[in-house]
Amino acid sequence: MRKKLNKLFRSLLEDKQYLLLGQSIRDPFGGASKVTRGLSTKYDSQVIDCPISESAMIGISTGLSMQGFIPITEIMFADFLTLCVDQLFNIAVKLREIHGIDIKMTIRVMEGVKEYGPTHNQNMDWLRIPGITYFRNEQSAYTPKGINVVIENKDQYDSNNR
Amino acid sequence: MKVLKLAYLIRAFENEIQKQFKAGIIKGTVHLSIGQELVDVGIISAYKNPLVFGNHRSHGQYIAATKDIVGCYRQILSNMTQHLYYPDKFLATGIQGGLCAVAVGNALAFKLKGIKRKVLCFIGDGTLGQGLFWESLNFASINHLNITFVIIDNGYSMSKTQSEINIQKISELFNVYDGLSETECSVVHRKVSRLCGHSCNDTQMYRPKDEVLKNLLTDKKYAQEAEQIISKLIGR
Repeated sequence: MRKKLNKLFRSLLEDKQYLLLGQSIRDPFGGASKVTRGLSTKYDSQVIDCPISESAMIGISTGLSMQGFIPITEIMFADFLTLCVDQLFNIAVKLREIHGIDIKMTIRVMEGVKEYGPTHNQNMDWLRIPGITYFRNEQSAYTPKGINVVIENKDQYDSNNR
Repeated sequence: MKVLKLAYLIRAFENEIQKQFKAGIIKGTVHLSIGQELVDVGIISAYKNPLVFGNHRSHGQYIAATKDIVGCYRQILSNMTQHLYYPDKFLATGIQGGLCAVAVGNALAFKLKGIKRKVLCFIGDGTLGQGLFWESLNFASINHLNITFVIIDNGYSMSKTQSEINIQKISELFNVYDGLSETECSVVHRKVSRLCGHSCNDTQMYRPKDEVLKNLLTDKKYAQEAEQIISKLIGR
C-alpha cells in the first residue's frame, strides 16, 4: 500500500493544484509512514512541512482550498484527529455548507494497534463529523470533492493489496 | 478625508443597529464595533484590495473592506452578525481566532501563486488566549507570508479586564514583529475603547460607572487619537 500511495501522489502532484501537507513529510524523512518519500525531491514547492500544529494544519488546508488548491494533509496518527475537530466542524464544514465555499481537501490518518501506546493506536470510528466523508484506504478519497478523511491501517503499509 | 468619513458612516450604522436591536427589529445577539471604527478603516484602507478576516465585532471591518452596507445589514438581520461573508474580500466567524489558520492558508496560496496581495487577520485582545492564533502566527512567520495580524485591544474579554486574564502585557509580546511590513508576516497592536457592551444584551454592570460615562463623552479625544493612527498609516 505504501508504494501504491506513493505512486498515486506522484501522479496527482503532476497537477500543480495538488499539495501535500504534513509533519516531516519532506525528504530525507519522508513522513512517519514513509508514504511521501522522494516526493519533495521531485515536487519541491508542492510538499510542505508543517510545525506540530494539527489544528492549524486543517485551517491552513482550508485556506489553501479557498484559493483553488487541493491539499492532501497528513495527520500522523488517527488519535490526533481530536485536535482537528474544531477546525473541521466549525470552520471547514460550515464554510462549505453555510457560505457555499468550495472546500476540497483530503486528510490522511494512520490507525491500528502497533505497540505505540494509548495515544498513537486508537481506532477513531466513533468520531464522525457531519459534512465529512470517511474512507478506508480507497483511491476515491482523492477525487476532488468536498472534505474527505481517509483512514489508513498501519498493518497494510507493507502489504501489496489495496 | 475618506477614511474619517467611512469611520463616521460605520459609527452611524452601528448606532442604528443598536437602536433596531432595542426596538426588537433585530433579534438574537449583535456585536457592535463602536469605538474601533477608525482602526478598522485605517488599516484596511492602507492596502490595495486586501483579503480581510474579521474579528468578533467585525461590522466595521466588513464595511471598510467591501463598502457593502446593505449586505452587512441583510446578514445581521439573518443572525450572521459574527459570520459576515463577502466572496474573495471578507470572512468572519463566531469562533474566537477560528479563522487565523484559514487566513494563513490564503496567504500561503498567494505566495505559491506568486500573487502579491495582503491578508489581514483581525483578532481581539481576548483571542490571545486561543492556541490556534499562536500556531498560525508561527507558521506564517517561518514561511514569510504576506499577512498582518491586527490585534484590536479594547481591554476586555466579555466582562473580564485584560489584567485578569493575561499574565504579560500585550505590548511586550510581539517585539519580533515591529511595525507594518509590506511583504512579511507582522503584528499590529492597536488600543481602542469598547464604547458599547460586549453584545447588545450586555448591561455592562462589571464596568466602573465613570468609565461607561467617559466612553460616551470621549468622541473628541478618540478622534484625535485616531487621526494620529491614520496619519501614521496613510502618511507612509
